[in-house]
Amino acid sequence: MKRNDWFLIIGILIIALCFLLIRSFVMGGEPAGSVEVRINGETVGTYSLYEDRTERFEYDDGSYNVMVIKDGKVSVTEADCPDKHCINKGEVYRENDTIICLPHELVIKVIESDSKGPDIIAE
Amino acid sequence: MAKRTAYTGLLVAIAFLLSYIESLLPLSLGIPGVKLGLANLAVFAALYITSTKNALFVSVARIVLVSLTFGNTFSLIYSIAGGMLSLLLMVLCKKSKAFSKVGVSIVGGVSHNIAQIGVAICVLETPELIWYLPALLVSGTVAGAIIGLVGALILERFMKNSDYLF
Repeated sequence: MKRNDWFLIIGILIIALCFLLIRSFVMGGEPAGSVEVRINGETVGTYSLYEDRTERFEYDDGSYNVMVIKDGKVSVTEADCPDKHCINKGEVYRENDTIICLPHELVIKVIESDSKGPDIIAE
Repeated sequence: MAKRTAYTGLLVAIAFLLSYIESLLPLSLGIPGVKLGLANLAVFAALYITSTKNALFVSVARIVLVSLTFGNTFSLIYSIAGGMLSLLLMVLCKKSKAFSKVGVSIVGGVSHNIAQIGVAICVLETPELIWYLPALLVSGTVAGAIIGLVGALILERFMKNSDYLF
């Protein structure tokens, strides 16, 4: 291996590290109020994190994801995708944090809702 | 010319076989898109023992064959994007002589992953996928280095028997 190879490897690792830093900056925000669900790039719904609920998303080919909102956090608890990455991601609740199920083209993203807090929703 | 054609045909067959072998070994690290890319061993060899044109042929032929056999048109788009960008950058890096074979292969692995995540972001209209990039950069580097190291060993032995070369 040449010296340049090592520079290349170090350069790539530095770029990866920078992305991780930006990521923790973007996603390390405050707990937010709702989640936006997109399937195949289209927004199919927005759900408040202040109301516990279970939502099942089914697709044309019979596959599915089950999204659970509980105690202000959202997670995917059941899915028949091959990689189960969406389930392994666990609970998310900070603004901009995202659960992605790539095989099903499902994106669940935490967003700040217009209504702040459970009190306003209860009105 | 005949030898070159024979080698190219052989390498297409090897690439196809390696793709199949890799599909039998599901290596899942919890991140979509992370894989070794065994078939790139054949493309890599084609690049060094035949020519850029033949390497392009091996790469495209493998992708089309594999997509027709195991995949779908959807996987074809990802494979073509990854295969073409990585080959282009590998050719440029090889010509520049700045890197060894391992370096060239790392550039191939990383650019393959970048192209695929780019396509995924466009096709799925999901910009958030960009956050997979750090993991894919690292996995592309590791996979590229392994393919490069193994590929260099194979080429070294192959070149020793240069009677077989044209």
